[in-house]
Amino acid sequence: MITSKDIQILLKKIGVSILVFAVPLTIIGGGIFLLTLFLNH
Amino acid sequence: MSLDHSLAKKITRDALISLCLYALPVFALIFYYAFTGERPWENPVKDYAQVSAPAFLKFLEPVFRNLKSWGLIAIALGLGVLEFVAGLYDNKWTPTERKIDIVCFLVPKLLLPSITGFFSLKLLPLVLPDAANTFSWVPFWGGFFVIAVADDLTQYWYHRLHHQLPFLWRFHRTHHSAPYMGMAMNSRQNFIYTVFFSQIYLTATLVYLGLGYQALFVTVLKSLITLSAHSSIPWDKPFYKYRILHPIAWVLERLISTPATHHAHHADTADDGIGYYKGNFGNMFFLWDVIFKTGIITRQYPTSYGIKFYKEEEWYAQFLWPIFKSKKEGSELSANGPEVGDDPALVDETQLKPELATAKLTTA
Repeated sequence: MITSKDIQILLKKIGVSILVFAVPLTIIGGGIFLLTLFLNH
Repeated sequence: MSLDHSLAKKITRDALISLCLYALPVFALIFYYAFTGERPWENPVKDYAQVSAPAFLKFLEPVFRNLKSWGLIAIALGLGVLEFVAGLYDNKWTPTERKIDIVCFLVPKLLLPSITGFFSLKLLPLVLPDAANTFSWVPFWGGFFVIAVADDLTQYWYHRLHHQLPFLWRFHRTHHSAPYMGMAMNSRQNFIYTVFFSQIYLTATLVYLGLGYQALFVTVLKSLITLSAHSSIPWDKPFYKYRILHPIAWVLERLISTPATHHAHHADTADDGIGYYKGNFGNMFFLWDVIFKTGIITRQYPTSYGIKFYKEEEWYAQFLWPIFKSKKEGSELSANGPEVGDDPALVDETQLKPELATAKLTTA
């Protein structure tokens, strides 16, 4: 049976997954987007 | 349970270095376009057929497309049959291991496409409605390196954190529990570990943004490398045996995961100087382990695999913990089991001895 502690671990695990996904996406996506802005000026 | 201070410091330092590594291909694009003065984003291509890929890759494209759709599964099954016939599992493929390997191989192939499909076709257009194909102007090699670094470095971190953050270990334990190596290890994972794989969503987002053509080559190449690194067929042995091949071996073993380096990661002990389950985290590229000093290269294979604290837990507990728990007494996957069982320094005392938790609560 799933307990509140399990749900806590699951949420922490999902949080880590989102962080590991979002940080590189921000750098790469944001980086390429800024590249076009920067070179257009 | 707190994380060791020096380990936390090293994770932070390596994460900061990684930010620079992610940005490297982007900086390369900036320098290229600043130098050439070209402005391809003003007329982005909307069709994969227009992406300028090298001729040999255009030629190989149908091969990669077929590998992606059915070829990789066929290769994996063929490799499995070869391993089985060669007796490489010996007597270790018990009914429990067999169930875990088969369920982990089949279920994600049936369920994961609908989850990633929902993410790519419904969620991304909702969150980023005008961003589809925004980066389709990125040239082939630029996009190739962006995807290769993004996908594999992200998987390196996802994997590494599941080894180094104790609360994550049990989601990854199934991948290490088998006392043998083989192609089945490539997909042998707890389903929650697989569903929340950060890099599949990152690559899906980059595909949505217009890097799909390059992603095809990276993901197929990566699947071939990781599959062969898990296989019990040691394709890298000739590179260590023949002196003339040593320079190639030197580059290969530092660049990509080989059976020798990845088998070391699956060893059940580090005491022999060959096994290194606390490192060698790289999946496609071993380079990350070289950069972050988390790897060892010995050109030797461990004599035994798995985890010391293994209790051959039920297939459903290994596949779906924490939704289903093991009934095996003292198991990491049981209701009151330790967080990390095979490393005394990392065992959460409160889980081994519930009375300690009560004592801590009363003194708080």
